[in-house]
Amino acid sequence: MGKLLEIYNLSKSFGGVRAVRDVSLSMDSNQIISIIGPNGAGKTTIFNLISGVYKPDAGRILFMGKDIVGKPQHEIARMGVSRTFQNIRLFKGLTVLENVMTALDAYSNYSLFSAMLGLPHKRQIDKTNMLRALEALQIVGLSKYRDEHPTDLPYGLQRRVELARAIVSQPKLLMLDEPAAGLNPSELAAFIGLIAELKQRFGFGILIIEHRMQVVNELSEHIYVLNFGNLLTHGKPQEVCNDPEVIKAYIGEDSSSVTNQKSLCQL
Amino acid sequence: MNFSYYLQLLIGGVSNGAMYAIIAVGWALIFSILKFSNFAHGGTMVCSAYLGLLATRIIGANLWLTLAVAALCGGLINILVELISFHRLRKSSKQVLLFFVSSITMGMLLQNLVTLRFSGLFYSYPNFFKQRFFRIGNISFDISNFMMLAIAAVILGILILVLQKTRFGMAVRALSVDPRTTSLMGVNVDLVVLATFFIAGALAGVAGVFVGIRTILSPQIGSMYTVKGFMVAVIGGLGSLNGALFASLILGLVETAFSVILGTSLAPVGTFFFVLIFLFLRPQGLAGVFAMEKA
Amino acid sequence: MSATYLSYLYSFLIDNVLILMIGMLGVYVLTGLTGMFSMGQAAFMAVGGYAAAMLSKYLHMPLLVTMPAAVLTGTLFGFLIGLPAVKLRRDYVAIVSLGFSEALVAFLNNTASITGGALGLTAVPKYTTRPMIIVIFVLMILFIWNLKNSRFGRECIAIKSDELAAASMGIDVARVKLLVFTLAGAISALGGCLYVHTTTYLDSAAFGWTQSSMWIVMVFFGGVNSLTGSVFAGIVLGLIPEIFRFSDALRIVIYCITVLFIVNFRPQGLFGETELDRKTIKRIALAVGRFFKRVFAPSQAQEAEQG
Repeated sequence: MGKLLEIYNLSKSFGGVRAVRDVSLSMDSNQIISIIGPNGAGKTTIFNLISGVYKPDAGRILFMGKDIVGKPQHEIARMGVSRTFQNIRLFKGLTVLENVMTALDAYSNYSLFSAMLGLPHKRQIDKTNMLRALEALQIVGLSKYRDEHPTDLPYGLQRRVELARAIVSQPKLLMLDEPAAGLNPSELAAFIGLIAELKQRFGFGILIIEHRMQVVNELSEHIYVLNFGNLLTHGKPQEVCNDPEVIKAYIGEDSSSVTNQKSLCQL
Repeated sequence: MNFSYYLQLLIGGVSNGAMYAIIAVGWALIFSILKFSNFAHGGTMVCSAYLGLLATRIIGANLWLTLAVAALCGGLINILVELISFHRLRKSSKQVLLFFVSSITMGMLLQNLVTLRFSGLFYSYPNFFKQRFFRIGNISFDISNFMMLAIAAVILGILILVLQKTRFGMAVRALSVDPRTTSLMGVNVDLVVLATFFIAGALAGVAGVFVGIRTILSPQIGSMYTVKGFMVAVIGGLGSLNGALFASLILGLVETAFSVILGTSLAPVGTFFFVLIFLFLRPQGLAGVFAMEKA
Repeated sequence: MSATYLSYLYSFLIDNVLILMIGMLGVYVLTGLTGMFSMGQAAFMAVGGYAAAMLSKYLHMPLLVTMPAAVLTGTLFGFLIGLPAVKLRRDYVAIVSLGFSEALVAFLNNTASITGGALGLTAVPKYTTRPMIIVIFVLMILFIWNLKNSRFGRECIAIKSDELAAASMGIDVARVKLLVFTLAGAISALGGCLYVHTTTYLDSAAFGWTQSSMWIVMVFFGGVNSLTGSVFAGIVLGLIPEIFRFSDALRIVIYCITVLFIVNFRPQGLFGETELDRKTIKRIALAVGRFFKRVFAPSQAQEAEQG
């Protein structure tokens, strides 16, 4: 079986800033991969390149063997790439349930006229979608908030609405941009459990950007480390977090004395 | 149809553009600090044009006094515009729709206050110039065109100097880049915004007098020139002063050209297609740079 | 209030307010749902109105022909203007539609021999009856209500709220926008057709951008996402000035002051995002019931609350 996602020599600059330089990466289905690195290392830019927000200056991105560079965002999404955002981007004006349903709407194929007339097959499709959306909400544990507006929910729950919205269409690749930011330790444990469960259940590939090493270490099978747009190293969690280069990038030049051989694995 | 005819047209177009420039620069100033267009601009313009007209009627003001009165009134009206339709919104909301509704309503309000007082009749300014034309060789030139061009050039020159050399100008430029940091640096943002509105309003007042000299005054010129100001601002690249200046010149010339080719009544059709094609070719405007959306 | 006065108000409500509100429904779809400004939406009403007027006045076509023709013309123009508009940035949609409406008015004035221009086109056949207008109006609201509660409605609101996130959900943003633009053109053109067959008179000045921005104001005034709110606002803003018999200019002045108050002190609009649907009515009824209980039987209510 071919790879789920292959990236070769990806580069992107904004003005004079080279946000991503010559990055290559690959992952299989049913695998959790993490991208870590300090702020401004180009992690989110990689997500934006994959999902088609930006066009790369150079490099290739293959999704299930097909080149997706230059395709518009919505086409890439419909191929089975879904994502969450670093600074939550839920739709204001829609309820939690409607937010999740929106991710299915692009796939429903009733016409404007059946929508305006409320024809039976429109209602049938909408009903099926609603049930799927409710199921996704149940998975993330938000069933009872279905009719709330997302802006009324606390931050942690908003993150979960975004997660439900991202998984409801059963994508092949799920990209999570700092999904654990702002969670307290008990929420964090629950969240890690949830991601592991999702992978078990749906078998999609998950690409995570994260700062918190606990998430990265417990979940991912492979870690890519970015620094200033460059790929610093990649490997299994144990290898990566004991790598002195990585520790230096993360904690700073003089860190060896302070942390005293402590690896990132215990952070 | 000879050389002198085209020369007159050219001068007419340039002076037309100068008038737009006065409107558009005020527009761009406010856009650059608010990041949203003030659609009440035409309302301010028409109000101060009528107040200038009153000055000529009541105290028999000459051109300079009329300009001063209109500029002052425009500035003061625009301060009211800021306080009423922008002040609270700036603090509480970032929703574009609200700024739009608020400023457009303010513009309608101003325009209809004029209608209430002057009941929609047509008025015109007295003739400020003793002669309408002067001749060089056998070509005659319209004096008002030249005067407007000269006045516009002087005013815009002063404005650019103020923006580049004074502390106030620095504050405005800082505000247009980053309002939060500017306020953290100890600049009184509200004051700078008010002052900017005053300046833009004064420019609108001057433009109002120009419109009054060029054509007959009616309350509808408020909405008409709001539309034109918006077009120029978009062509120039929203928020850019230099862009607005060039765009004004281009639109002034294009409009004059179309009114010759298509006739005055069909000129807006030509202008519309021109704007449309322009935006298609260069959607960011003459000077504008798109801010990259961050995901 | 005498019966004649009431019946006058009724006819005014239908002939002047409801008809213009059909045009407003186009703005609701465009601005309220999708967040695009059409500062020239009234031009689409003009397009429909003139199409219907020409066909009926010169070719003596019946309503069964003029109405579909008007809607079709509106659809066509909506599509043509939408095509460039949706590819451009959001604020440019406003200018493209605005330019279109200015250009159209200029064009109409220039073809005065056929269209009547600023002087107006008179003696257009009157085809509409009041019950008919009410039926069409209610049907349109029903259609748009259904639309709002379908995938299109959700996609529109998603696009309004966050285009980038909407695209990453697989929504083809440009396509949905174009669809909405076309639909709005068709709806407003339908309004124009009914307008001209009711008033039997049409002039270019009625379709300037003041009318267009009035619609935006109504949509906003009612609450941006709320269809029932927009309809409510349209009726109130349309009827109140007539009840108090203000002059046109004074009427607009009072409009403007009201709107400015709302913008500043209730920026989400009268209804906010709430629809006046069964659930809300029930909630209001309960609240009113509680209120009356407290007023008329305060001791009992207190006991009930304490118990």
